[in-house]
Amino acid sequence: MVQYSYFPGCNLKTNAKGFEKSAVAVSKKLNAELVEIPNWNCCGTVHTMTSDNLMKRIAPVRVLSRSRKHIEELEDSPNEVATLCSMCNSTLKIVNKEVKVDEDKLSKINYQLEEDEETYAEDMEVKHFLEILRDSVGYKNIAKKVIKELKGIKVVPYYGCMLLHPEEAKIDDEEMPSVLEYLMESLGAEVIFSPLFKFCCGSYHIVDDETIVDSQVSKILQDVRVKGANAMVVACPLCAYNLDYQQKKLIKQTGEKNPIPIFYFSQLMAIAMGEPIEINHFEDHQIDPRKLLKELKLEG
Amino acid sequence: MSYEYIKFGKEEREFREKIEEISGENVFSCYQCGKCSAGCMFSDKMDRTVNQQIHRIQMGQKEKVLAANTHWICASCLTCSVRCPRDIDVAAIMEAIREYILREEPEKIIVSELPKEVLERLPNIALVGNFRKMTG
Amino acid sequence: MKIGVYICECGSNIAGTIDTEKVARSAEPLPKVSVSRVYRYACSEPGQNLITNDIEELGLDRIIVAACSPSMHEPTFRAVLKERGLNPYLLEMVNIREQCSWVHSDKKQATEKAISLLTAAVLRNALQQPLTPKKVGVTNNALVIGGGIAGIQAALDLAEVGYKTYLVEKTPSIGGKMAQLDKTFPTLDCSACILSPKMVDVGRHPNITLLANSEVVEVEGFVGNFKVKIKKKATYVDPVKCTLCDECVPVCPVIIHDEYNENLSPRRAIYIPFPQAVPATYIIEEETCLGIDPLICAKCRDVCGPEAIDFDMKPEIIEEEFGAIVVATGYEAYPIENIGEYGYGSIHNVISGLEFERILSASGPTDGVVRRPSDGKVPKTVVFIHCAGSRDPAKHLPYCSKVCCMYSTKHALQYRHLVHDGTAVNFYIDIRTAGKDYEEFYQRAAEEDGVIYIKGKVSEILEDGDQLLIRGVNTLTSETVEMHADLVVLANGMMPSEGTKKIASMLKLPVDSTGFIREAHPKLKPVDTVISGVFLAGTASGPKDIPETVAHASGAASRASTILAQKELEIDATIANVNEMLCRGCGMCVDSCPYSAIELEAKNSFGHTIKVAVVNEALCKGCGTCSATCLNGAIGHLGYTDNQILAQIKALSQK
Repeated sequence: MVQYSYFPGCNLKTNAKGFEKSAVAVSKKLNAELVEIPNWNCCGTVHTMTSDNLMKRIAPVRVLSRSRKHIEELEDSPNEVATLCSMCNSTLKIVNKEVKVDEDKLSKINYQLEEDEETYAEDMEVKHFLEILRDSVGYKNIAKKVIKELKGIKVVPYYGCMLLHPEEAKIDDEEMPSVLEYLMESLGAEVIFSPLFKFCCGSYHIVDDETIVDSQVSKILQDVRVKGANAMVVACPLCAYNLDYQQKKLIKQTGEKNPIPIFYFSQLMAIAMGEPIEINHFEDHQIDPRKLLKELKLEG
Repeated sequence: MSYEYIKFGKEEREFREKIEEISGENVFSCYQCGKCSAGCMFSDKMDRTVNQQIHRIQMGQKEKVLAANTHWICASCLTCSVRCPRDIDVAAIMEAIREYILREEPEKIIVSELPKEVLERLPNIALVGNFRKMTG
Repeated sequence: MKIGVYICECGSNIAGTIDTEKVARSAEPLPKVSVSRVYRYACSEPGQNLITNDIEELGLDRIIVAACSPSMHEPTFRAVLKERGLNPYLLEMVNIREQCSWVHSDKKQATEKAISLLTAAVLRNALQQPLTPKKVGVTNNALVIGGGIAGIQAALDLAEVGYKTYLVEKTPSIGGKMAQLDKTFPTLDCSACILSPKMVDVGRHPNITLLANSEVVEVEGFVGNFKVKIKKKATYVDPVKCTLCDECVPVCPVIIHDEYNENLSPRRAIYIPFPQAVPATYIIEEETCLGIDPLICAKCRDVCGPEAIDFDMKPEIIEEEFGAIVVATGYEAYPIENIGEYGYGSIHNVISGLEFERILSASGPTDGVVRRPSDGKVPKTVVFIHCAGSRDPAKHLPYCSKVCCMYSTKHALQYRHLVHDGTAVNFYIDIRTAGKDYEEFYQRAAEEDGVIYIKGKVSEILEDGDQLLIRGVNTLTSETVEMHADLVVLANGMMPSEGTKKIASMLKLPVDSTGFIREAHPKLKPVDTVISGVFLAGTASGPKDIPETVAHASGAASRASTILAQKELEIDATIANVNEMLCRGCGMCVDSCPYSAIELEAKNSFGHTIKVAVVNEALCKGCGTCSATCLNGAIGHLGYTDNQILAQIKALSQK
């Protein structure tokens, strides 16, 4: 079994439990097991874009360093830290690239990490689980493990910003990505294109000004409905929260009759591969996907 | 409409240079094509366009730059940065304006005033992300 | 031996940063120096006269000029020496402008550096030897590579002067990109109407040998004596017998995209590229024909009345010698599919500028009616996006492609002439109309033809039903804007063509960072290359519009004539020379020579056959790479002997 040193990040333990559990379950089926790093810390969530602040870069470098130690205990493990949350992925990737090209930055950060014997030797790569699925597992091998094709699911892949921006962190072509499309097709789902596939959900403005998020989310969902889709697939716990939780609120306000359930890509994989439905924690979703799954006889 | 009296003195230069120092970008790379504003998915909520903010930084117009809501609306989706034909990290300049303010007045939002229900319900990445962008 | 030293002030260019008097005084005590003077402009006529008079009156026999780069004025001062009966190679130039005054700001240090360089030059100058340049004969034929408007113009000019000229074109017809254009700015002349007479002239001119469907495959030799191999592909149709009756076309079973119409219409494997093609003949395209084999298909041969079709035709290799070469290999349109946010290639109704040219053309795929590709409807709103790829150093082309402002304006204006109730909108960053009558043309489009201009770049194009949603900005009103259009035309920029890249590497022509061929001097030698005898015409050296291309091509023809008119040429004497006694025949110099000027030859030495390096004096540029490489010190350099260089190093290291 190939094992990956896996960095969950905070949300996978709280709001996005179903994302983590389904991803870990399918990773074992695909010979690419996600094994959690012991003692991990928060990556810092958003990468700082200031050029003069090193403090905010220490946390992500510590993650890389701990992951490097972790892989020594794993089986057939490449020098890669696997991520699921697209924000963690972006932050870790950018910092990793930064310290690889800037020795001065790295040595100043390592000075802070020395005390705990956690200095980093810039010998890791950060991989989103989607990259591992695409480049190491392969769509063909994913399709082979499908026991229940997702017939009837008309899904809009939604990338959000952090999987595609910036250049240093992108997992696919930033203007014409395809990884979610191919993944969904290999599960037997029908892929529906929405040009708003990276129209920002409003992100952290959910804290300071909900109206910004509401405006973004309603634009995105309107296009999804116009295109005739019945589901969306995402890879970011914050996109998922904004699209799901705020959608519920908007439906209450507008009386919209057509709710769109939001899936993590790994949840749809788990369903197609016949994992028990409980691991998806659908009860945490505001728009309950089980209704659609039941209609399409994909529930059990 | 009255004439805007413009000058290019020490204050103007210092403001510009501080923004350039924080962001690590040269604002004079901008040739005002406007692609950053054109692609900004929050532009409908901004009272100044992104390219206008950059031009005002070129001019060193500190008061006008800081008075806009543009940099607070910016959610760092980075579409402007990846599409800029002059390779300017436009979002980093927005971040630099925020930082410029937060280093003086560190609380754009007051965390202690957020309701407990909200703190419990919202995803950690939303909270931490927001605090990183809106507090010093 | 009497050395005269002259320090040029170059106005304030040198004197502004260097104490020229001090430099002049520093040379006076040096051995052999008879006189040391400062002059404001040494290259001026009075400046040259000063040197001439000193040669006469003081009996100087060697001259040092401390001024600008030798590539600028060495020929000027060598001529002064020659005129007074001195060997021109006894001149030494010290570059105290580019190497001192222009690159330093500290006057004291710059002056010290100038003194060091001058001292070194005096010691070297004393050791210099008179040299005699060699002469080579000249073949009075010209080769023009590329049959677009640039190649056509250059070939016609050369042929008119009386030189036998070969025009080699890769595709089946000459005409190039200009043949695809509908109308030309700013006069709206029909492009084909003004181009085809010139094409016909090429076909008929007794001094022009037109080789279409042909490629240059090998170039050897040097100025005045290029040996060139040209591969002429088989066309399988005898152009003499072909009567252009078109009987063969309908029977051909192969249907493919027509590149002349930018793939917007079909053609067959046997075809004529376009009605005005020169040479005027049908050809069979080998790559797409079912097999050039009568056993598989011979439908065209069966219907051909004059029996012009010949399946046994073979490609030929033509070997010829030329005195000068004109490179007119042109440009390619930037591949706009690289601009992901504009969706070209995935959105049907986003098209390129050249595609729109064909759509506008009466001989194009829509017979001159403006129709969009997806459904053939006449678009009621067309958006033209400038700078599609240009002025984008982040991801695409860093430079301005020069012609797009004008051709987008022309497109919008032509569209408005054809669709009276249509709306034409140009999104631009800046409007650049530098050219005769160009600004007037732009004003006319806005004032009289109702073309709308919005200053701001488009960020993305989205499909919205059967329309396109354009998300852009109006930077003058500081508003982001959205609008619907039925068709979007992207003004793709110019980039060097594949042929330009290939010929540049074959001829070892240096290219700039964007792949265009570098001129010998961007201002004063805009059609010369660093390889003598090779000249540039048209867009091979950078974006140009048609008038500029034609002028450039005539310039190249004129420059080529200055070589072709000679019976023999002088070759600079400062070249490598081999001491055969020291040479071991290891061949390292052969590998290191960037100009392929050195070969190993077998020689008899005391009854043994040994290999020694031999320098081709005409090919050698005197760069010195071989001398630096040779482990045995067997290759020296005439004009830069080891002794001379050591004297310089000694002087410089004493500081």
